[in-house]
Amino acid sequence: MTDLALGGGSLAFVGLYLLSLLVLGVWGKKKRLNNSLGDYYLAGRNLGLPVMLLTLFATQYSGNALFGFTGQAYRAGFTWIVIVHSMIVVVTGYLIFAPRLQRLAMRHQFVTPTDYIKFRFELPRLQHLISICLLLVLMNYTLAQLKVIGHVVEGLSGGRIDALWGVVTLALIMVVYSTLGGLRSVVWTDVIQGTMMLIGFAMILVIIGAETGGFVETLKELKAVAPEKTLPPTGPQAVTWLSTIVLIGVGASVYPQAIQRIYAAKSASVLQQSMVGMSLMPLFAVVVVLTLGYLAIVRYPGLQGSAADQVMALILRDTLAFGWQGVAIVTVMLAAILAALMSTADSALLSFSSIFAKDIYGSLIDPSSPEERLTRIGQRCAWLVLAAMVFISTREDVTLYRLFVLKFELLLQVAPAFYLGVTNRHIAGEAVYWGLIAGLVVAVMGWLLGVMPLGLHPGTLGLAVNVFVIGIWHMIRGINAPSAS
Amino acid sequence: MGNQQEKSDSQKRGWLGVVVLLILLSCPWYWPAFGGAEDQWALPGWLLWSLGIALAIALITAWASLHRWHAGDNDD
Repeated sequence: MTDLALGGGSLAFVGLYLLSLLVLGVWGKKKRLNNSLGDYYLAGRNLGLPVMLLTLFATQYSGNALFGFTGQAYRAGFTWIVIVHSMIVVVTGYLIFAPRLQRLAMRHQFVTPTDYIKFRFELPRLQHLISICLLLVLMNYTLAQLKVIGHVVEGLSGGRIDALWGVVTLALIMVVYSTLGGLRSVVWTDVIQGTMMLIGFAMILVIIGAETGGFVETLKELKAVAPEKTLPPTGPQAVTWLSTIVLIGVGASVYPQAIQRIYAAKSASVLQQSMVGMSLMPLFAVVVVLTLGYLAIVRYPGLQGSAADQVMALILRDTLAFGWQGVAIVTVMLAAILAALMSTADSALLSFSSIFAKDIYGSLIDPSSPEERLTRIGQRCAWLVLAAMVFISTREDVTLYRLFVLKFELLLQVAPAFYLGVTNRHIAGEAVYWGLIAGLVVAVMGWLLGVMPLGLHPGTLGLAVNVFVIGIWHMIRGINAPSAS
Repeated sequence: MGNQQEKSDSQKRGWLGVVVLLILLSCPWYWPAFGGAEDQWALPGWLLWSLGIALAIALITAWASLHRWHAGDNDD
């Protein structure tokens, strides 16, 4: 990341913010009622409206939103406005399955997303395959956040702190507060982080106002500098547009950590009102981030590939030139960036540890384990996975957008199990299992080969094959008797 | 009874059909057929149109959250 060497006051502010996260970890531990999985991983299923809204926001809007979205806006131009539609459609997707899923979770005490699969389909191999897919997605998600954390810390310290040490320190803070209080600590840190992010997004508007000679003038300049980036999508681009909405809209709605927040809601009405907030959020948060990316096309022409992911850092560096006001804006923005990264990584980590403890260890390795033991296994698993991800984060070199897409290619294949399972009582587990395998083969092969037939993402194509196989299975084998849910 | 239940479910999800239609319209692949449109505040007409559709999808989704929260009946 471009150097953003800050003074002692700014670093003290960031340090204070990090300290507050540890304090919340200790607070979360004190509030724990027992060592059950439900209390540790779902905060006692008692999340109220403000906490639920901010934790959903902080979890859904990650480092990708700040670095990946601006970078892609820079590369793709106005056609990347499709991310606004996609982030809204995520909430539309929730409305298809969340109402019934939340009620079932409350009634049957689900802890992990796979608990629903087990309950609905009663097919262990489907349950295990979905668990493995979700674990891979969560590893990918955590890895992407850690990579950016390294860049941010290196830039923040002007290169004085190595990326590795930055990642190790922040990962340690994250795993400590997660281990202490489980989801209770994580959601309260999300409240701070979500608030910080909202302030950060508002700050972006201030930056745009300060750095340009006016919004309209900048757009006119953009049209002169890069007219190709202002054109509407045509042909394969139009197909990619719709494919992106399916990929992100459907894929992100089955984020395991988001499904666990649906389980953790205090009531249906809390969830309903949170969804209202989440459906309107992209019109503010995503639009301002994209605007920053478009401003960067004019300010920093010629950036190629992953270099475009650095436009946010370049803009922050230039904002420092605005005296103490600039320093104040950059300080809050950096805290917001760390908040975005950590809030997403800690949620992914907690979800990973719950799925490993309950669906892998508690189901395949030692089914007789009591819940207290599974909770401890999950905590240890979080430490080990984070250590492995920290190691990998310093070695892999792929653009943020590519990591972002891989995650959705896999998640999309899991989606029919939730969408169809909840809405159609006749769907059989066997059909969902073979559909999932077919979809995964297509999605992963397509991702490895780097192809987008007809402009479709491999994951979207995989989803089509997935649903097609489910349909064919039912045509051949006949419609089942209605299942339990 | 069963048919009535299914009919009621599909009525409650009618808003979803509108959202799907709006998603298809959100991509302005048909824009050249309009002969383009004047820029407003230096923003291309197609972009404003698409953002308007995004707003419509968001409002319908928000409305559906409040008024079409369908958790199912006694089927579990």
